[in-house]
Amino acid sequence: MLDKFRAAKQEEIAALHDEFMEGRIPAVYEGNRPSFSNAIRAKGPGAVIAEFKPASPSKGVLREHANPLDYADTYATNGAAAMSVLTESQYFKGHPDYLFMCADRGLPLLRKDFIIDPLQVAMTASSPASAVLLIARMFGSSHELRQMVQLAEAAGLEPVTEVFDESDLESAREAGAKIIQVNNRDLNTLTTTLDISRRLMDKQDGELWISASGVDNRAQIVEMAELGFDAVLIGTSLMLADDPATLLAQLTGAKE
Amino acid sequence: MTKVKVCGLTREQDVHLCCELGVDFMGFIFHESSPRNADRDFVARASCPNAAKVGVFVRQSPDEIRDIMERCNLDFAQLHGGQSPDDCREVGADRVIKVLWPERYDSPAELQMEIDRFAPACAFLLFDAGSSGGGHGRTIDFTNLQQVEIKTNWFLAGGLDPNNVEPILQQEPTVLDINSGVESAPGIKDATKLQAVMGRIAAHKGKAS
Repeated sequence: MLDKFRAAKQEEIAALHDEFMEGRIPAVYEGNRPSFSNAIRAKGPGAVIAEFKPASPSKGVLREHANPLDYADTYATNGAAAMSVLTESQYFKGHPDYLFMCADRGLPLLRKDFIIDPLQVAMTASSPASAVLLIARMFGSSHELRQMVQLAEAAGLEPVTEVFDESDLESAREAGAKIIQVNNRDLNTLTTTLDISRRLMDKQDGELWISASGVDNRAQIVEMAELGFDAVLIGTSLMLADDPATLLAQLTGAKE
Repeated sequence: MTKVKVCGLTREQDVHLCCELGVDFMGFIFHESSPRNADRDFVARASCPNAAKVGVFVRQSPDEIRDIMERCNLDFAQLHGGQSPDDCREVGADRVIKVLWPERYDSPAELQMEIDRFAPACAFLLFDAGSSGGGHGRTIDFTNLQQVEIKTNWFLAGGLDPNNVEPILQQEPTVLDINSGVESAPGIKDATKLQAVMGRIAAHKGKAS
């Protein structure tokens, strides 16, 4: 599946390169970029990163006509520590503009996309995103991953490095990643299981850990927090919920 | 190792039979004009721990398909009509099996273009005989299929029965899709024929390993 995502990004990357060759480099965003990691530590362990995701490859369209402004409002007022925003268009029906639309609600934003090229990092830095997702196994080596981690940091973004297994985690550490996101999806069966988070949890001093995918109730968040996860990332269940505000309040523990 | 899908299930006892014989995918047809059209409540009840449930859809919108998948607890949607790659993504690329009819194309190059267009939008491709529909028992024509490159996992359907699976296994499809070839009447599966097919496949696995 990651190969499909990589292929889906080729057109965008080619366009960014063409513009770069013509001397058009995205201008760095000058507005306020709240700290992603501070916001999570303030509400963690077990802080909730609420995601805006109109569709997914495993479930198709999750919510027709989903408005990012409504979700940013709902997430900011119901206890989310940060907001993850899908910007990939083909499979997730996201858009980079959604980062601008969600920016003024005060939540730090994580750009969720398939970022494999330095110019995509530059483009992210031209948006109000505070953090950017890097998927460890989309890079050929930990050396390449390290370059992207450093590039993101130099641009004022906090890189979030996603891992699926032990060898990804090793690459992430070699690359100097400080924010580790464990994806609970088994790439062989495409099912999600929190066993992956249980198995991989190995937080070192100074690291921040996030458990993503397959979390949809408060008991799971409590368990992940007890294991040491600073945050959980929740998307599908919030997008499927008819009342995401109430669900989020329950997930964060604000409401029984 | 080639897996097996048995399509067009309409009866509880056939679900049990497939389950006992170790079928990997069970197919249920949601198309009213088909003699094998399945009742939604029956599909919702059908379960087998080691087999994935596939719904076959011809005319429904992506929205209706998602709804039926949810209600009937389906693992995959087989899009057996004129759906576009965008329709596949609306249902969910990871859970779509898209049917193509190789005989529709005048040349392998045209078929290759369609394969390349749909492969990123689905989990599996399925190649069927004829130029539309399915379940008619016609055997698939390999002329175009032998000259294309299929990088994704694929199903092979079209007139498969106990007597012709052996040469077809040589093509190494990911999944063999069998329907009328293991029936005594439309929608009524025949235990003897199904056992024979499973036996041939098991024998082929033995040879290959």
